[in-house]
Amino acid sequence: MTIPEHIDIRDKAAIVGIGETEYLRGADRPSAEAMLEATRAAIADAGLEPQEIDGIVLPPVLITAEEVAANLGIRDIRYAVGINMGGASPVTALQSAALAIAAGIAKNVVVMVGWNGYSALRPKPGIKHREVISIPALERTLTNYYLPYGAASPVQMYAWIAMRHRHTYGISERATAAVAMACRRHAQHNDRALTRGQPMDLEAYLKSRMISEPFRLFDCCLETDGACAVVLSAADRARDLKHRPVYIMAAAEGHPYPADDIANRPDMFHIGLNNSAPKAFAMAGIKPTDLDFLQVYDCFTYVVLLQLEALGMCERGAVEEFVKDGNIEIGGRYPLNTHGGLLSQAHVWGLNHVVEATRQLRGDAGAVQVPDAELGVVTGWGDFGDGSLAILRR
Amino acid sequence: MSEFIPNPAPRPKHYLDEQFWEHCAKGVLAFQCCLDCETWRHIPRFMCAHCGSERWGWRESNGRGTVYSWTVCHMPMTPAFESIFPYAVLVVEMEEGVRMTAGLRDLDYQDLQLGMPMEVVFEPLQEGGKLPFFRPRVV
Repeated sequence: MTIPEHIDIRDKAAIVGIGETEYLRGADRPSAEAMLEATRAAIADAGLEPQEIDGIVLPPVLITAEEVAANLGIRDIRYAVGINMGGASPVTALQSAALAIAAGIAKNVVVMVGWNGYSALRPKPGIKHREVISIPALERTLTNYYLPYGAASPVQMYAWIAMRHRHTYGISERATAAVAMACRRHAQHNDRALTRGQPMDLEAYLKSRMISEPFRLFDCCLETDGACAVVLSAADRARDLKHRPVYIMAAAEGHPYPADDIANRPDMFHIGLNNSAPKAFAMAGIKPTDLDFLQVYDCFTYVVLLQLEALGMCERGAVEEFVKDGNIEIGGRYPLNTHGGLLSQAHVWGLNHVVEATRQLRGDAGAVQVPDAELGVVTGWGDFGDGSLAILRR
Repeated sequence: MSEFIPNPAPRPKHYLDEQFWEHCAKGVLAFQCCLDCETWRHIPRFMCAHCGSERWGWRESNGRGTVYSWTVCHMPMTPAFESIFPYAVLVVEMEEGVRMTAGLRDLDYQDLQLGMPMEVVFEPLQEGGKLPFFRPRVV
């Protein structure tokens, strides 16, 4: 008997259901309630009954698998795990769900995320309660070595990577503007986008105030409240459900080194995605140039640029050339964040990117549909540069 | 004007952090160094990632380094910094090979450049202890 080197997850699982709440500023309910609403919507979208869910994979959000099961009446959870990679968690969760399905542990797995990122994350006037997300992996570095200098927020810490990259490769603000404007343009077609009706041109981008150099306000994602969820099922079951299945061709997670301190990386530009992307493309058996669209985690514009290089869309340092002339806009070769992304739709930890990728591959993306989209990638970025990706096909 | 800087004090998680900051309180910048393979390291760790040794000691840095990267914060994220923004937070590459985050002194942040020579200076915290900052070094 031969023992396989690893479990082959390629095409074993498919996204069969998607669900979203309204995205807004000013939610008046706990994020757990919003996540349950999105989860019920995703299960219904799949054409499944809640009792058929037997797996739950959770980012570090404020709900437990036990609560989910108790609310939905799921009597037999066979697989419940948590992922701790910050904003990269939802895409890593796809890997975990696909693994559980490929191994035969679970048949229908739900992944959900939600928070009151506008209304309850930080103290604000009129705030009723706070919902604080803890990040144990980073706490020691933050409280000892970053916070005493006033580096308290991701915008300041990712800036160290961006600033060195900008000065090393001579990247201009046209590159970050291209990302911000592509997302904003796509959001103009999306009813769920908070910036619909607020187009942005280069002049407006360059006028936006500095937050933490090199990041301007319009380099930063939105702060919003809301939740979304996706259901994955075994490929044989997926074919009989309501929608055209969107198969997980490959998924991988990656961690930079050291993951808990940005300053001491031998190569500061080597992010988690540099480790995970080659594995995922090899697993899928495709090249980056085969992709029809890119849904890239966009907490900040420059983080998108770093990921485009790590994905292998272009050489290191060549990203300004890659994003120019509408290449990443609808009608261009590699449309990026066709829903508007975290920058211009809403910040739902990038699970909204997975929802959008699913719509694209179902052919349900409306005005921003990429014609004949067959292959797409979704990336996640979290904590100090963790990076995961999933390669999806119809 | 207060003789103390408004920065919040570090919050040590365990004795490695405590010892790093105890050196700083005396105006000494010291990093861990592996006693077996002589590799310097920061932030403090229990083992040498290079050779696996658990034998290490604190060694005083010469306090010299160069600017590896930086950001300039134009919006204070915590109340302590409301009186002093905009301010720069540097990543400094020390001559010993480790890098550390630190604040900037004696230079307009607009004049920062990659590779600029820097040297450490210490400033006292309200809660006790000292925090290392970096200022331009004449070479």
